[in-house]
Amino acid sequence: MSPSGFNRTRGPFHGQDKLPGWWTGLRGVPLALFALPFVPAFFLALISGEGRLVGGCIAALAGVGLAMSRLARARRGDARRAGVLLGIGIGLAAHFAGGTAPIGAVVLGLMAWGGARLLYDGVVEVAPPPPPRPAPPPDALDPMRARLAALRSGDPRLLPAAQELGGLLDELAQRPDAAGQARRVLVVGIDGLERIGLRLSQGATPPETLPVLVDDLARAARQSAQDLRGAETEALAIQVKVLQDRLHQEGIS
Amino acid sequence: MNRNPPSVTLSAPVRRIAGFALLAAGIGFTGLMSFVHVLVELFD
Repeated sequence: MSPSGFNRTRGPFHGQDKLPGWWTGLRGVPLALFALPFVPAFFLALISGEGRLVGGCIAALAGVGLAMSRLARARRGDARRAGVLLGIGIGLAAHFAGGTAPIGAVVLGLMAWGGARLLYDGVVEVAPPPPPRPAPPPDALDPMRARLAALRSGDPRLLPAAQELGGLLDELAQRPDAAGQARRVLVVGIDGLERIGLRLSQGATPPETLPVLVDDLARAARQSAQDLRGAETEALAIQVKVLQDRLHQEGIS
Repeated sequence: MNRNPPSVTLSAPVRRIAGFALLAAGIGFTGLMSFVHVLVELFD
């Protein structure tokens, strides 16, 4: 037998019933064996063309199939659900395919339900898997990142400013709560560079002041990034000071 | 992983045998009865 058979470590049975995991999938086999007469009955009912008989056989086979799938899944409460499904299916089959009176159908359905409850009570079941985690919200900086990537692959005269704005964007990404001057520099810089890049791509002759403007923008972006880092450094210094004072008060240092 | 607590205070072997017998009677008898009934309806 393959290692995934007997040596499975996460199967519902393993370690409790001392049985391999694949055994769980065979829990419903007795139901299938008992339900074998429904198979020829179903085909004969098809030949007869009687809707009641066909419906009754389908109810029985569906009840048994659903119960088997619940038993094979073996999640918490599945054995009880399987019993209910089986009882309903057998009751309907007894009335429609077996031709019993309603009370007889109810009794046979209850027998099937009780039998499943007795046979499968106490079996090992696993907890249902946790619900899937919700998808993370889209990053608000993603559009800016895409625009900056387009600028970087655009006119090389705008590249220095685009690079510095990229650095500022990285700083902002690390501090999503940061707003104010840095974000304004980023928005204004990207908007302006996009417009300039558009004109340049349409063949405009750049004015002499363009390199100065690009340098100014790069410097402003660099300064904003440094300010963000400086604010973090300042906050850290305050934390260190507070902790030192606390330790001093407690007499630890 | 947890063990589905038994709702009937019977020993495990008795519970299994009783459940097996009830299932045999409930499903098996209904199946045979349906088979015979369908046969009768078909050849009647």
